[in-house]
Amino acid sequence: MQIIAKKGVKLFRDFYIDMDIKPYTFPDVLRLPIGFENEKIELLKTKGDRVKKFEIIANIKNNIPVYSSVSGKIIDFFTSRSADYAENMKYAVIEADGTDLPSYPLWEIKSGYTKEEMLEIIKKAGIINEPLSGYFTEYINTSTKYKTIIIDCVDDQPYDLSKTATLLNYQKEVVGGAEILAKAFGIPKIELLITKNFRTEELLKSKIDNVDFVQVKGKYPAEPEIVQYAHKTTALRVGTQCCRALYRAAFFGEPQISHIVTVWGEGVEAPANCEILNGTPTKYLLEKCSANGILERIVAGGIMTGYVISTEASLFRWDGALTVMPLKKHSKTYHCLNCGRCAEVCPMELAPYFILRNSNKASEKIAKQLCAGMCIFCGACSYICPSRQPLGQKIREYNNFLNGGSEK
Amino acid sequence: MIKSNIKASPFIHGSENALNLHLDLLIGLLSVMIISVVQNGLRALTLCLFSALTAWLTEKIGLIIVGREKSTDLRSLAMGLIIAMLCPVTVPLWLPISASFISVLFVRVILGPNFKNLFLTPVIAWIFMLTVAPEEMTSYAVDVSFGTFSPFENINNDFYVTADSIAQQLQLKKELSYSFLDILTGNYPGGLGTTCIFIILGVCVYFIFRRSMAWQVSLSMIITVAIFALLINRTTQSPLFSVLYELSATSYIFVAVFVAGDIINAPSVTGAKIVYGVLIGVLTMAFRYLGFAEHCVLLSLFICNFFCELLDVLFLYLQIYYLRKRMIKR
Repeated sequence: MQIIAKKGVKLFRDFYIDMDIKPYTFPDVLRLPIGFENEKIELLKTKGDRVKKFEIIANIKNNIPVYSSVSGKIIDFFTSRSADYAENMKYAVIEADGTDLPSYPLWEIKSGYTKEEMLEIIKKAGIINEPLSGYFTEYINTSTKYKTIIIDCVDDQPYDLSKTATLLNYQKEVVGGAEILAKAFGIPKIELLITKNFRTEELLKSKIDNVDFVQVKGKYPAEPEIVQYAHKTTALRVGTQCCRALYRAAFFGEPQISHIVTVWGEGVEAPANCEILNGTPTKYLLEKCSANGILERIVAGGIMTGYVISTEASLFRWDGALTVMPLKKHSKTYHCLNCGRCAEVCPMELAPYFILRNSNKASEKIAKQLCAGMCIFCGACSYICPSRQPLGQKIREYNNFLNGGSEK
Repeated sequence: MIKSNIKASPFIHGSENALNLHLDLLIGLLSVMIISVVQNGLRALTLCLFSALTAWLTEKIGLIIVGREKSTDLRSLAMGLIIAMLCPVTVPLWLPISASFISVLFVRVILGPNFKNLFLTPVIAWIFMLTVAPEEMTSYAVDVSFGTFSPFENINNDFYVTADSIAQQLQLKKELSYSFLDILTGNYPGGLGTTCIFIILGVCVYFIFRRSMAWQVSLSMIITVAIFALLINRTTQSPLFSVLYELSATSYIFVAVFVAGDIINAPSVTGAKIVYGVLIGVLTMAFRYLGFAEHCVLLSLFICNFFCELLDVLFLYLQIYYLRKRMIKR
């Protein structure tokens, strides 16, 4: 079985990296992202409080707990404007004291769970579904009768192999997580979506019990095709890290306090896949991978869709890559040539140049008619644009504006 | 200390850029120019160089005066070359120079990028040249070879024997005696850079390979005229020769590849590109049948360009309509 992404751009894939995962270590100070300010944050701790590993610091949205990933003292709370979202993120600054004592299991462990019990565990463990950049509990439609579980192991951006590395290193946990979810929900089939790269070749030759392989081929982004495939097969799509977290939550009673990140790029001497604790500062991670400190641009979340991050900030839990790019000479931008390249590559069949041209106040109606809101921010239009117009960025800003944000 | 720089995604870009697109156009035109110089002598080179230089200087100085940022120098050079190539080799030197000056000033300096789809630089130059010097623009010398004409001196009409262009001959229902090879190698009367079909098609393949042209426009233009030529044979020869003559007449292939097929001039949506090409083809043939023989393809292009944006919008909304329909279905 294959999924072929016909629309999009061809990106370089000829990169090699050691696929082992470096285990997490403890930074002195963590900046733990709690949630966006509009997510109804209920703080359970205050400045100066001591916290233990796995202790709840806050509840967000409908009682989704945010756990401390280390034991230590909360020295501050602060809000910072997120670079890629037009919203403010609240952080807790925790000074680790190095006395991490395991306090799990946090809930009753069983060999099998009912659907309701599984939903409760997913919520309690604060599991992130990384392909959908959000809490897993929010993406499960309880009224849908799912027919398949799709384990999404599609790393289609350069310098990002976090999903593949998770699968290769924790195959038992990833598949086990999907299996326990399938059992609880009564889903008969599990499929594994993989992109062809230097390691999945081997994976394709081998076999994983009870799992069917689906190869994702073609151009970047594969996202629209995957969404369409999931819709067609009435599938529940879960990331490899999400599956692993599910397994650990179900069999060890652990909440998700860490995630795997590929640290790479032209400015990194020792690229690696690292497991990091939530709130680990970028600087700590970069030092661990010997990033050189001369004129670099640090990008979180993939070089096609990510955002620039400072060395003091920490990654979001769904960011699978941290890339250090050399700060190249500013490439010259020209006025739009009307060549239509952006429309040719747009996987959503939009016309970015036309949206951009009409994205002023006067022609807001036209831009809405042009379905600017359907943009998936894959960045293919900006990548291909011969005039180097920041099309994706402008459409994102425009969408934020339409959604009541202030960026415009 | 690690410094970071604020910039939005994506953080990598494709190898294609505006400069490369224009460079490809220039490479294509220079290839055609070289063949033209071999066939027509150094006068072809003089006309091309002076025209290109005028276009480049006009844009450079003009944009400094109006205070607008230029795109790339290469585009104006290419426009200057196209203008010169549309002329017969015998035109006075001042004609392409003044045409380059006027058209670049009007289209690229005064109107600027927002109006590029409404008026095309070579079309405006052609209108100017045909208005100012209609006789010179439609007189083609017979037996031109390297060294026949002086590179700089003005050429008197009495100095050379003229021949009707293929379009004129077709219109006058004259018997055409050009072989397949003559047509391919450009051994027939026409603009100095527009006759050698072989090299133009070679450049077209290069453009398609480099993705530097809107091939859908050129292809639909060629297919439309070919269909007309097959249906209405104006020659006394086989339908194949009818196709060959109609395509080689009035710089049709040259305009299809270098002007209408130019990625920047053409509509952006695929469907619009095809309709645009078909429209140009239909109008060209209509003009030919009505009797406007010379350069009617540029007249068609001039008219169709007014509908370029409209076609784009129409097809775009059609695309969005189906997109929405699909989304609702899901």
